[in-house]
Amino acid sequence: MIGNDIIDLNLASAQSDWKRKGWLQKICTKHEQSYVLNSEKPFLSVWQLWSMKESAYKAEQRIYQLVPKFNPKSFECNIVSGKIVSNKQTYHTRSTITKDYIHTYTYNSNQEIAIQKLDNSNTLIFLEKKLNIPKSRLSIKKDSNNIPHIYIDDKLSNNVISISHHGKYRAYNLLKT
Amino acid sequence: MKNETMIEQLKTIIKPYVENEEQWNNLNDETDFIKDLDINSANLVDIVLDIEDAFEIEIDNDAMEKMLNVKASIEVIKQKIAEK
Repeated sequence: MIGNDIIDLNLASAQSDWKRKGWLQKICTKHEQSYVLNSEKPFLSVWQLWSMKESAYKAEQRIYQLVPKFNPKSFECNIVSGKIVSNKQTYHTRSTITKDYIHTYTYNSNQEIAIQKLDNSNTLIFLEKKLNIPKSRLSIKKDSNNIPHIYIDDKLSNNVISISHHGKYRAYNLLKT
Repeated sequence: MKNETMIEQLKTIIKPYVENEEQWNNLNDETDFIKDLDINSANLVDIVLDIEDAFEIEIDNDAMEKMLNVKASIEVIKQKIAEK
């Protein structure tokens, strides 16, 4: 299973006001809300939760080939353990928090993680290095559910990639087969 | 309320969150908030809250789930107005 999500914290604070009336209630379960409100760093807790929910959502959407939905409350997160539970599945995630971004990915034993500045980032060059295949033979296509897939010589590859972009950053989670 | 009036109102609501102005100008029934307008997914919450305020309705989780495009959002608004 694969899903990842990056949040540019500068952009998040400009784009969203998590303290807006009703905002937290729309995306967080009761338990998550109380975690945030009792947290010493509520801003970071909110965005870590959000990146966890997005990672699990992306993984679930890919596994079950689901049409896009906006259901953040369906993913109950435990920030401390990184565990996320939906009505279909349990997900294990890891998060990296810096002063500039939060990145969360579903945990797999054999995977490549990369976080790049958007202006230096090129998905095909990243794949060329990681898969050791010339980029002229590679392409990425999104399916009707907006999920990206890797193609080698125009044939669907078993290697799986999750791509996330927000503000100045792009993040990859690649599962090689 | 007519469909066109509702779409116009919705168009005004989502404008502040839109990253793709050209697609916004051509907004229609089929327009997808994320795919077409590049709206950040966290801002979908703001759109739902703005819609609740503008139309004086309450949107529950099941309804919110569908609100990823113009058509589904208009359907939810209509249904919630009818239930008032």
